[in-house]
This record gives sequence, C-alpha cells and structure tokens, in this order.
Amino acid sequence: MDSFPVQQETPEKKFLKERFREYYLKNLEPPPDITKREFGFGFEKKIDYRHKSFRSFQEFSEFVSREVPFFISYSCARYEFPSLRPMDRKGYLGSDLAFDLDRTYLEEKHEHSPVLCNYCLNRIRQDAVNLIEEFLVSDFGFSREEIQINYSGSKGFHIHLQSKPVQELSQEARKQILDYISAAGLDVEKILRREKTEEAGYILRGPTKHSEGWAKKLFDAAFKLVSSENLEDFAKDGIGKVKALKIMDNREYVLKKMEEGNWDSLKGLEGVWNKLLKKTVQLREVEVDRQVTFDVARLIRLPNSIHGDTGLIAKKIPLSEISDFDPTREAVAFDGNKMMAIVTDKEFRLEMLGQTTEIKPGKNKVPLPAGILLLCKKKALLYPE
Amino acid sequence: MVDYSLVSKYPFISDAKKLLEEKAGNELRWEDLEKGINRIVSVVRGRERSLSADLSLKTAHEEASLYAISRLLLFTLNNPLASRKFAEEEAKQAANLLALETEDVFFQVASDFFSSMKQENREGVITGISLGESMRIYSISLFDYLKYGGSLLYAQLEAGRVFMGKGEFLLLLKKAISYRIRDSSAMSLKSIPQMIKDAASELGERLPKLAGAISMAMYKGSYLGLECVQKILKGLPEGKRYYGSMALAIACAKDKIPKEEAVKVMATFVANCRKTTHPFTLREAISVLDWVYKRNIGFSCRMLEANDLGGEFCKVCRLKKGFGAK
Repeated sequence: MDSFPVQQETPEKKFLKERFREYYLKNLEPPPDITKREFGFGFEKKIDYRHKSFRSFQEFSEFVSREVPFFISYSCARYEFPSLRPMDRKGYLGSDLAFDLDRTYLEEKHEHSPVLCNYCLNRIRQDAVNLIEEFLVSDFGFSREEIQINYSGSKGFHIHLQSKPVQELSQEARKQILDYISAAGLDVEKILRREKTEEAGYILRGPTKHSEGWAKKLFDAAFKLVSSENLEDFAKDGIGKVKALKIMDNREYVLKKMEEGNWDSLKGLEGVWNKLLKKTVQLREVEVDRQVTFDVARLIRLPNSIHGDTGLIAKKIPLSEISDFDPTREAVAFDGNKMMAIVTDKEFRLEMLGQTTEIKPGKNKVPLPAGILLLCKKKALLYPE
Repeated sequence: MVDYSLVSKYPFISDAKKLLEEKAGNELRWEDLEKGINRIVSVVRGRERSLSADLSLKTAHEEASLYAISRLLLFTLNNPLASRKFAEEEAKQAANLLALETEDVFFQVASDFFSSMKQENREGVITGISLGESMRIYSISLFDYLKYGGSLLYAQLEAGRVFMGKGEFLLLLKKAISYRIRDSSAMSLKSIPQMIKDAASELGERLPKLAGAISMAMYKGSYLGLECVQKILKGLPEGKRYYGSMALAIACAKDKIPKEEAVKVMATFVANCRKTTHPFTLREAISVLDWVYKRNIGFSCRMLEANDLGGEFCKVCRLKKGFGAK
C-alpha cells in the first residue's frame, strides 16, 4: 500500500509518533476477519483517510508501524471488497452490533475535568454495566461470553457483539434495539391505561408480576416502592405523606392487586404511578451514540489501539473486571517510571498509575504517561533538552 | 414429507418450493401465465381466493406453480405498489384462514417463518388479559421477531425471547407472510424468458390503478420540492439509502402529506434505488416513514450535508435564504 502524504511534523508529533510506534511494535491486535474490514486512519483528525483494507495482519501491522497513525478505526461491517468506493461497491456482508457510551454528565454536580473526568467516566461505566446486565444479557439474551467491552481511550466505553445473528440485523432492527435501550418513544400511558371491565367499570390496568420487558422494569420499580416501610422512600419519589401512609396501610392488598395487573386498588394514585414510572424510565434508560449502533457503515476505534487525543489505550476489559476498571491505571500505554520535560501555560493535576502529578505553568518534569496525555491534548509542548 | 393440504392452502411455505423442485421439468405455457395474471388481478382487487376442496398432490402442485408464476410476473413488472398490494392481500387472506386452523396446522405454518417458535403456557404475561387465567402463548427469538419488524418497546421480552398471545402473533405472522411474498432478492431479471416479460406487460395493462397515480404536484411541496430531496427521490446507492429515506419521510411529514400518499413517495424512491447485494426494501422505507410520522422531526440540512446528500444545492437553496428558518 502507498504511504500517506507526509504530514507537517512538529517536534511533539515526532515524539508522539516514536512512542506510539514502540507501543504498536509489541501490542497491535487485529479485529476478527481483518481482510473483510474497512480501515480508517487519523493523523490530524480522528479519521483523515478511510476505505483502506489489508490482505493480512502482517500487511496491516507493517502499515501501522510505518505510518504510525494517531487514530486507528475499523468498520463494524464486513465487506467482500472493503476498499472499493462508493459504499455500494464494497459488497456488504453484515455488521457487528456496537454501542458507544461517551456522554458527559455536566448536568450533575461535580468538579468536571476537561482533560480526563473521573466522575463522568464512572457514571458512564455504570451505564455500560447497566446496558450489559439489564438489557444485553437479561432482556436480549446475549451470553456474557459474546459481549466484548473496551475503554474508548478517552471519555467512555465501547461494547461489541459479533455473533452471526447479530451480523444479519437490519438497520430497522438496530433502530428497534436502540429505541428499546433508550426508551425512545416509550409512552408510559400505553403500559398503564384505563380499561373497561364488566365487573368494576373502568379500572387502571398495568403490568403484572408476569410482565416482561419495559413493563417488568416498571412493575419492579413500583413494587419495590410499595414494599418499602420507609416514608422517606416515598418522599424521594415525590409522594406526599398522606398518600404514602394510605399505601403503607394497605400495602399487602395493593401489592396483591398490582401482581394481578390491577393498579386501581386504591383510588387517586394514578398520578403517583405515572410519575414513578416516568422516573423509572429516566433512571433505567441508557444513552448511547445512536449513529454508532445504527449506521452499519460506521468506523469504530480498534480495541487495544492508542487514542491520539489522550495517549491511552482503547483497552479491552474482561467483563468481570469492568466495575473495577480504572483507565488511569489500566489503560496507560507508557512507562510511568520514565520522565519527560514539558512546558505549559496552565496548571493541571493529573492522576495516573496511582501517582498524582501537579503541573505548574512553565517547565515541568513529569512521568511519561502524563506528559504524553498533555501533548496529545495540545495543552503542553516538549521542553527542548 | 410434503403436506399437500398445507401447500394447497398456503403455497408460500417452504414445502411448496420443495414440491416444485421435485416435480420440475414441465414447460411453461401461456395459459399458466394467464392464470397467474388472473390470480394477481383478482387478489389485488381484494377478491378472496377460492380454495379447492380437493387438497391432493395435484392441487398442491397447481397452487404452488400458480403462486410462483404470480411472484415472477410481479417481479418482472417491477411495480412496487402492485407487489405490495398483492403480498398484503395474500397475507391477509392467509392470516384469516390460519386463525381458524387447528393448533397443529397453525404451528406448522408459523414455524416455517419463525424457526425459533415455541408454545408456552404462562399466566397473565400480557397486560390487559384476563387476570390469573392461564392462556396459550407463543414465544420466538428476539432475532426472529426483529426480522419482521416487530416493535420492541412494548414487547414482552425476556432472555432473548419475545412472548405473544395468539392475536399479536397472528399480526406478526401476517407481516412475515407479506414480506416473504414480496421478497425478490433471489430473483434476477437477466434470466427471465421473453414470454414472461410479455405476460408482465399484459399484467401491467390489466392491473387496476392503485390508489391513483402519484401526482407530480405532490412532489412540489415546500420540502419535497427541494432540489436535494428531488435528487434523493431519483434513487441512491447503498450506504446512503437509509438517510435518504429518512429525509424523504421527513419532507413528506413537513409537507403534511397523508401517510398513504407518502407511502407512494417511498415506493417511488425504493424503485429508483439500485438493487445491490443488500437491497433496500419498501418495508424498510415504510418503517422509516412510520417512525417519522409518529414523531415531530425537523428537516435537517446539516444531516443531509454530513451524509453527502445534495449538499451541492445548499448554496442556491431557499431554506438557507430564510424559508422555514423560523
């Protein structure tokens, strides 16, 4: 394959390229079916060039070591001819199902770090666990073995599913999956509705103890609340003391009726249920980047490659370790015992590999991973030694 | 072992194909094609298919051939509206018939579409059913369910299986039958003999006008008339068709075109799209339309530009000159 046009290389870029090359010489991993994937590479942006393909892992590996891109992405789709253009000439064969969780939680009170925000990352990790456990495993029936998760290398996590039935999902099916996990368009009033009965006239009908899907999630939330013996739990859900006491006094009866699908055992609670169910939807829905899941022509970061905005690895994580995964320890690509000199005009406080590095304006000697992070973020320059 | 009575009544099941393969070799005659034309015209007009009392091998073979010829004629005619109407009418009649069948027959036909189908006995799984009463329900795999456009949001979904009562399952089965009848992905125009092409032309002349031709005036709405939308309407290659269909559907919604009319716009788009290794079907286009019509979605020039759909018209576009800016 031809080389890409020579980029304007600053000393920082040259330095980063050398470090990235050292990493790739030992750590590059191919995606499954590498010859059927389209690749994209970024030298300035995340993707400057795409529609590349390789005949073997060796060819790919040689290319990466020679060109040292700052970003490596590959197609979720498999193609007969991955390098052909336009897209319809590629011969689509199927596509993995991928989820990209990378939102920021700016609306929640915390000290947000624009460089690497641990708070946001923790919240996204919770979302990822929720997506896997509650939706992918519990509802969709995927086995844990077929779910692959990796840190994105920056602000979030990527989840990949690659089984054969997944490959065959149409775009419409992918949209259904997205709508389900994000509860897009879910109308609580369709789940909790007034229905005419012969015996009791109109009653409020809702999910039963045998319900599944979203109806079950909503039933479980309401059942848990009604089972509570703590007035504060009701208050948290915006239920006043009078109504809460009414529910508590009739708890067994209300629960029994709810199990049967009758949510009208106590009158005047329709508003309470509606509010509670809407809150449950908000709490349990998972926000993902819809385009990544939906668009089968999309490119996504290659697991275990380095993210050029952080110098961190898009590290594959065993599912059992996701809850404890700390990217500042486990996604660090470079030796924390080595030091480098940088110059910056701002103050930073970085935690990496368990060490806290205070950076002041001016010249600083910092551990290599912290220095590379700031160079990648363009927050510092190399200090010539 | 092929069940002749099933094939006679439901010539779209896999056994019908097997039967035709076993008995292949008869030369196609003009009268067979004429029977096919008559059948299509009759079905499209909404007339009920009369079932022969004789459910023997001979009837099964005749029905299977007639069905195959009908599909071939419709494929050759390349009129998505007619194909859709035919498939929907056939599916409707089949679903009505299936609702009256014994549980065994129902299961046999349904599992031909949903190989993962199981019968389950569960209590009150579906909200709104007689409480505490045991009812027969069915379950299929999530993938089978999604294949035929089932909506997941309100589905009774657990561990990769979707549970349904008979009524809901029949609706899904009807969709599946309709999709199978319409599916022409295994057919190729190259191998169609001239005799069939001639018969298809005749079919085109005999078919009733389906809900009127699409008026050109419809295409000149505020949004449908945009040059980028007009370009999309002429068809798109793989990779762009979904965004294209989304833009078309939004344009229809913004122009307040009734959904039945918008279906025709989508059908025109589908017909104009090139058939590639991964065909874009009317079903996909209509599901986009359904999605858009349920929501209030803005027309996004940025999205069109980002997906390389007519960005070249932006400089001269009236939207950027203030039209619709508010």
